[in-house]
Amino acid sequence: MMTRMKKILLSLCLVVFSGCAFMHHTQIGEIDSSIVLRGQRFEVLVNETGFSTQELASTGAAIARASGNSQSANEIQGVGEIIALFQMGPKTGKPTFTDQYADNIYYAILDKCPSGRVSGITSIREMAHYPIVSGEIVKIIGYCKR
Amino acid sequence: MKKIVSVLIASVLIQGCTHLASVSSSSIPKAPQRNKPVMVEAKKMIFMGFNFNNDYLNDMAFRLANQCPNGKIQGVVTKHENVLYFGPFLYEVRVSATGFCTRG
Repeated sequence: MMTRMKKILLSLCLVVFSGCAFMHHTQIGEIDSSIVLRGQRFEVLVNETGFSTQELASTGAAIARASGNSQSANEIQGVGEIIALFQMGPKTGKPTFTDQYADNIYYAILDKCPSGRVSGITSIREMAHYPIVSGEIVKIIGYCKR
Repeated sequence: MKKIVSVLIASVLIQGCTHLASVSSSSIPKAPQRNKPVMVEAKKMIFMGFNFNNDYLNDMAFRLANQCPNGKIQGVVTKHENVLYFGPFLYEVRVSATGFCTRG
């Protein structure tokens, strides 16, 4: 009983403390120093939830194995491996169901800087990684001349 | 025992690997305007993959602008690289940005 509690606590700790930030790409645009040094800094963040069915299958298999059901564990693991075959290939972060979440970022920037006089735009594509899910993030940092 | 230690030390010393993750460039100014290069670098050492934010990148544009307070910076080449020191256990993420300070 105690061992099972320990396992659950350990799993919870892993979930809580394993959130890590991965940076995939950074780009800095042209800089008008008068705007960057004297303007107002703004930040725009758009994100989409990434979802890893493979990790879900591995977790499910581990839980099934821990509860003594190795037959189910093997089946779940098998399903996970089949899904993994279909998701092979170049990718950045975990799979999302849409890649259009950053399409309107231009309008989000204009919301922050209605004058449209922005400079020093730093675009960062990053991922907040958690077990099974992730935050697939596009962050824009810029400077606005009011 | 000595052999194991030697192999470990050798593996640390020999296996320094760099990975170029991405490069981007903005439009490049004409030749007469390319005489004042500016550069900034931001880096972070990451141990066991534990990295909780990428805030070290946030002020790169500001630091570039500080090197060219009365002009514009064009031809900004941003380079993102990963330097592995000890496999996936210890690595450094390095982002550098270079450009040319031109008159505004």
